[in-house]
Amino acid sequence: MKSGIKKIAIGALLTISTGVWAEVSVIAHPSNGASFDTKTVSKIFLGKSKKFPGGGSAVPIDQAQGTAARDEFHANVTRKKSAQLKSYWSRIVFTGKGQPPKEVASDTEVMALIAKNPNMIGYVNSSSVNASVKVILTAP
Amino acid sequence: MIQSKIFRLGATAALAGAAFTFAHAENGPTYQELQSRLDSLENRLDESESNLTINGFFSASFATHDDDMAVTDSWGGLNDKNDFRSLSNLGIQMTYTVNDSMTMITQLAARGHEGWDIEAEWAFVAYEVSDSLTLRFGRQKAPLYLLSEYIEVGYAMPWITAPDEVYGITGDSTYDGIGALYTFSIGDWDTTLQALVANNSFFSTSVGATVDLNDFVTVSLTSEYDSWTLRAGYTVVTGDIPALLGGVVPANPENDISYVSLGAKYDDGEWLVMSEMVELSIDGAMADSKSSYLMVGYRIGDLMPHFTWSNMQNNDAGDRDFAGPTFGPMLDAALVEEQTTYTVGVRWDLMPGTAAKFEVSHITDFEGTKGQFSYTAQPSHSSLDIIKFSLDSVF
Repeated sequence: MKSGIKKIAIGALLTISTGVWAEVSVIAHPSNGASFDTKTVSKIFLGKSKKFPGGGSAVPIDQAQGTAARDEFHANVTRKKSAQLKSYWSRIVFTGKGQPPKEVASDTEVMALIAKNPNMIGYVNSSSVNASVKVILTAP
Repeated sequence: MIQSKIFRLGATAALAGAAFTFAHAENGPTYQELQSRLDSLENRLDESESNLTINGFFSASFATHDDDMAVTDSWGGLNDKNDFRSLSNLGIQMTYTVNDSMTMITQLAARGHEGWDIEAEWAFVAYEVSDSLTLRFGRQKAPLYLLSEYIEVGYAMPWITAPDEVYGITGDSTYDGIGALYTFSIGDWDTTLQALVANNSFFSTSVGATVDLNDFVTVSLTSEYDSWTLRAGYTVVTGDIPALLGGVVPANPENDISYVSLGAKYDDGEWLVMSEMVELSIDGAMADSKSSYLMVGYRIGDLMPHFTWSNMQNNDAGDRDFAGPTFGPMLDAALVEEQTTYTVGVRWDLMPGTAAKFEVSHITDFEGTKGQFSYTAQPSHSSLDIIKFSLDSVF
């Protein structure tokens, strides 16, 4: 009975987060023809894969700590909270295995970088998207 | 950083000035052309800025215990009753990206218990042969167990010190040699095969002398899927172990030593469960041991209370009988270590990059041995309590 209630609660939470998630779009350069799912994007942002599914090196662009877009993106894609993400990267960095993605301060900066660089992948609030970039993922 | 910003500002101003002057000149470059040159110059400046990355970590710790005798912990000794120094450390890491396939990494660390002497913990060149294979040449930490490579980065661990029964048996784990990392997938499992061939020498507290480790080879397989991490490792090394007890045990330059380790971790964002087992075998008089721990933590917001049981047992009773009825027991007393530790603690994530920790450890079940302490005589007490605080940060 208890677990039934828990399942309903989790279902409700998932519905809510799906709704909010639709507000953040994962974007790439318009020339990027690869198809993406949440797992592929998560691997790129966690440094586990360095290439796009169709080949070509992938450079993730993160948003600065404390931005709503960043919290939404990581809650839904890498599924890590800020402290966990920091802990994850400290294990990678201090064992010489990699560096976290470059961080920029705003949607505008993400859009400007992605529009110019076919290797980059980022995320912005859906309302910031325009034709200079390609939306590759909007729902988990 | 500031200098390069000023330089960039200067370059931008100069180019903007040029754009203004030449945009009106006939047959000169157009404003758009200059704008695109400016963009490419800025990109190049951005790239040169990101070639060098500096990261750092520190732990400011305090520990106290209820014993008048000196205590040896993972970090080589809590010497004072109220010890602000022994568990504290700091490190700074420079990562220089030479080109797409080559990276130079230097990590300098200073530890309180070593009088804050600065040592190069990592100093290697990594060469990316392909997306899945990286070779490392130089000084690097051996991937002996789950946490061995980042054991000094307090922030990256749930505890202030990792269980001594597992992490205290190997001493310093920095080696000079050649390493390889190979990543691949087994179904949905992201897998890393890691190997290191190296040499090292370290001061062994149980032997009381410097031990040279030659022909060190370690291989480990780590697989991650969703919330799970599974790990298996095997290490062989030849130890040049000096004579013990004034020659009762003669020096042996070719002691075969091996470690077999198994580990598992489950972290779903709420629950954190970790467990490892290590079996250490050494030829001759040195004690073989079996070590293990189980840790369970549960996150409530920014707090994670946790409990850990850890244990070390001797695995070769009777192996020192050759020394006779007088020296046999003396060897046992000097070399055999058994103990169990119960640790209750809490980690509080103050902000991303900074955590405060508190731990109480109750160490007991010495079974007549001195446990993992540097007592010269067997302790008369049956248990010992250690209280620890720390503030850990990474930047």
